Amino acid sequence: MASPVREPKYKAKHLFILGLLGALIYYVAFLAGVRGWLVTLSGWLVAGVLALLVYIAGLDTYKIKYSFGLSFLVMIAYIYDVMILLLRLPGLPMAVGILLFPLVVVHMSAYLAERRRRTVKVEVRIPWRKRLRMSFFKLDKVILTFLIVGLTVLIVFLVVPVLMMLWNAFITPPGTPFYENFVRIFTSPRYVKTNTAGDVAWAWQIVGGRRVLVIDGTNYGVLLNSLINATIVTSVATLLGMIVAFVLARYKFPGKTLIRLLAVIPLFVTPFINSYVIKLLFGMTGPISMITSHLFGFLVDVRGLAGVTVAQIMAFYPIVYLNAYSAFLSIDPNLEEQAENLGAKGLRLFTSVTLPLALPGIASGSIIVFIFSLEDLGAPIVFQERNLMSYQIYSSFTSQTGIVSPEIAALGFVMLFLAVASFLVIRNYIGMRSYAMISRGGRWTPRERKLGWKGLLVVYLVLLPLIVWTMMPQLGVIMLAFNMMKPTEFSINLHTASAKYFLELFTNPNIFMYIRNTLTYALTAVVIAIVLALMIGYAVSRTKIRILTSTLDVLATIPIAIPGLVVALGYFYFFADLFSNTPLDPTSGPTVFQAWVVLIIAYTIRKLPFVVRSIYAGYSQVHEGLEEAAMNLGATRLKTIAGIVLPLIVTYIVSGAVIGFIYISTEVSTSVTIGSLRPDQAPMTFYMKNIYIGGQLAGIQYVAAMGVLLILFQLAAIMLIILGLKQSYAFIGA
Amino acid sequence: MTRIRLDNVTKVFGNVVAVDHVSFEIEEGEFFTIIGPSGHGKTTVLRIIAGFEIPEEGHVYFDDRDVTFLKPYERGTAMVFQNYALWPHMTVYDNIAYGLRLRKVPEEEIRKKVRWALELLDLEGTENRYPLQLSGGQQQRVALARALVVEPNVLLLDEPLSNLDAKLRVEMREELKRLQRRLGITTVYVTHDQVEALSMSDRIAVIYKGRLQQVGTPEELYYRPRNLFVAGFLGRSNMLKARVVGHRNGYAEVEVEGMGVRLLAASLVEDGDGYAIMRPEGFRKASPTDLENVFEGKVETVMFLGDKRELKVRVGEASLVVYLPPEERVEVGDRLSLHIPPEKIMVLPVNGGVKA
Repeated sequence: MASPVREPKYKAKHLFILGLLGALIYYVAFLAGVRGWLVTLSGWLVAGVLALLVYIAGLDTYKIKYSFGLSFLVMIAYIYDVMILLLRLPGLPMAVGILLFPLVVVHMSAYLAERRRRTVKVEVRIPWRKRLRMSFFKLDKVILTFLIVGLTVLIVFLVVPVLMMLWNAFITPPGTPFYENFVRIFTSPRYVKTNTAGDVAWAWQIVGGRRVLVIDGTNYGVLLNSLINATIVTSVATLLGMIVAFVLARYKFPGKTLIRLLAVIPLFVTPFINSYVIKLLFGMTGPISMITSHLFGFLVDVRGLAGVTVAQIMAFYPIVYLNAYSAFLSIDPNLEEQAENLGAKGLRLFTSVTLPLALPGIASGSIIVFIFSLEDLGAPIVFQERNLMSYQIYSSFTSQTGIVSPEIAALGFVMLFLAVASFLVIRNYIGMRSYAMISRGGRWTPRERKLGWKGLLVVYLVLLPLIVWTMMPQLGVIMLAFNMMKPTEFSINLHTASAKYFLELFTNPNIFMYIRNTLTYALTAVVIAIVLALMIGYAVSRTKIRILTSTLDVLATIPIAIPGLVVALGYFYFFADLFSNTPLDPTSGPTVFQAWVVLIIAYTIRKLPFVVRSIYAGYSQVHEGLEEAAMNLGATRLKTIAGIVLPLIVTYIVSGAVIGFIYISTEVSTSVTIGSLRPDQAPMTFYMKNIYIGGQLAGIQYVAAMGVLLILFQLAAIMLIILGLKQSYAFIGA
Repeated sequence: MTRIRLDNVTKVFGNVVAVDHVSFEIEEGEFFTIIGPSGHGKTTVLRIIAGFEIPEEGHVYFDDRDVTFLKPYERGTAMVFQNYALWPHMTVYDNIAYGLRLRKVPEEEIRKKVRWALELLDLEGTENRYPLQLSGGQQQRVALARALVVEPNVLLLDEPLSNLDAKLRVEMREELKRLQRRLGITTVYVTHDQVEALSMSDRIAVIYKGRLQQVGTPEELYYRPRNLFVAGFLGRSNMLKARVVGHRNGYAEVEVEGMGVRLLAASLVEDGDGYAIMRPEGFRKASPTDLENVFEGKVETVMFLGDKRELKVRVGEASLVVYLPPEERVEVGDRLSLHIPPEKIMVLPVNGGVKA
């Protein structure tokens, strides 16, 4: 059913004209005061129907699907339009939605058309029962066991809990429709507040007789706040990370190695306490206030939503930086040299060749930042910002009743949808472009050039201060832990230095309890995760059974995209509903509930993708021929795995275990929620969360000391992996 | 030693039929080669024999035992893989000893047998090295030693020489053949290299588009190809459209399109259209005693190849590739009178009988 090849009449730019048309119809009417659903609908219809007509008339869909920029925009457009239709935000946001709509319509039509074409041709007909028998015959008992164990564990402990959360989200008060909770989330001003009159983003205040510029951001309601915050954090972090990565990847200057090392410091995860230091940095005693008060005579205090945003940008931008850095390095220099050879240089070269080739790598970092920002609890708790989805879900666990309301389940589902949808969309975008990395032949030395004096000025006056600034939180944590800084203000007092708090972590049984809990849980979960990952990785890399293999693959990867708070909610319902009146029931009270079981399972499943990824990388290093050679000589499957495969992937197993351990010991979401239901079985991060008790600062130095302990864990892990195993492993990325 | 029989074997990957109703028999101790273009199913046939793939239809027999559904480790075959598949974490000795250890052979015995294999393949002194420390040729011999040491019923070789350089390939070719004859193991050899196939095999199976085109000795395939694909795949040939117009002296009389002459030929076609196949080495300069199959042509190109001269000769509208002995001095532009004996022209049916 090949359609005749013809020169496409219309191009992507025509779609923008159509989108603009629809958007204008809507927006002009909106500005003129003509509102109502009819106007909105006509805007969407004009854009959509015209786009469909243009598609049928012949449109260059190839370009939309394969160009780096356009296809990226299409992916964003999908998410944006779904959200805008759900939220029904009037005005400019809606107009932008209409502007993007033709892209979505055309992309969807092209996709459906291609799908139909693809399903038409079936050359060979073999009865499915025979096919099924063949597939299973190829599996020996060992692989079959791996498949079944992997699938069962992931379905029971991942799919079922999430479904139970969804089920609870549809429990509504009698007399209301079943989707009432979602209606509330998308309409009530608590979640979506479009009228923000009187709520200013910044204001002047007099505190203690001094003029203070207080910046706290505008409250648009819980849902919008989370979205806006995550969008700003992702954009700024991407921009920053990309620039830093480009300069460090492509230019040579004195001190580069040092700057490269410093730039990774913000990646050391110290939950809660680093946000606390950031709060001090941007507070009335911080360096910024010091400068402004000297120069202009006023202080600056960043609070609330604005505080959360800056804290997250500082904490998360290195994720993009790392991904972008390796993306820039992995571009074959020939590709750029060819472009230069043809006359491209400077910005032109960057935007036409370098950036498109690096975009998949950068995007995989950005999407992680987006998800992290959505589900982050550290900054919202430290800045006491309740109007965020993450804080709302968290606080429902600490309510007195011990019951999480269905509305929160619905909120959890919205968060899940946002994270997973954007993750899948970006992964699809990246997957389509992996050929960019295939073209490499052999090794090359990355392109590096010397910087002129202007460039050097920029590096030392802008880049270096920026990087020093972003490593301040970790520095502050260390200073707090060793009592070189006052708990309530940003200062450096080296003479008060003492290891007292750090040592007390191990001598005070009330504090050491948490460390012991973390270590026990993390080690147990890592062992389970390794065993699971060995089975799942093997089954995924060595079988090609329709649906089953790909399902297992997706299930083992998707926890990266599932916010920890959603897992926490899911587990709450899972254990509360299916294990009620047993010690596993979270509502059974803080002396009965066995939180450790739930925590270990949650850790295993949440961090499984990182372990699986490492082990899967190992399996794909082992050519299947090596196994076939062994089986051909008479080794059974198990003997082959034990004697041939495992010895070859030992380093990958170790690095998987180390990475899993790090991720688990710094895990926040389930630790502070499930943990709060049984405090004496809670891990370190639960203790660290209690920076404030009853609004009062409490034991901040102990928390900082725990932060230092976690830094030490991470440092040891990196050393082990890079020096011991000689692997350069990207720690974070999709 | 083992006799192998494939009966109507079909293998499907997704929607692609990789192997399509293939049947043949391999005799005890035979050196049997499967040849065909890359991606046309020859390796799949080998993997079905080894047990790495299970056919959707058909059966595989070793002697008279049905082994279709036996696991690879239950078949007693030994395979040498294209990329050798040596275990990088084991020394040469351990690689070779692996199969014996699985069979619980006493360590004493193992040492003796490994020594025998090392000697057989000229690998003495490498036993404590790791595969990555060896040259390509040595790795190849280790892979072979590892397969031979278990005294397999069947030796399966999957393009074992394709990763070697040209000189080494010739040496290994002779060595392989010598070994196989000495040990008398039933051997199945997969290659896309016609020189390897012709020079080593007792019999050859040609596979194209998953189907078996012809099985026979190298001579049979070369001189009596059953269809156009086989004729074109093994050796070079001039293939021209032709029509059988009569019969004379036990030969068919054919009109070759473009050449404008009538030739006598051995024909598989009784009547009507077909293709005339002429090997370049079938031609020679015509002498006055040649009465039939003589025609004139103009030399278009000449290439001196050392052992022969390769000419392109225009006859009428057709262009023929012709090999002449190197001592024949010809120049571009010469007019040449050529002869080809009738038994060296084959006429095959138009559709060529190619199974596709």
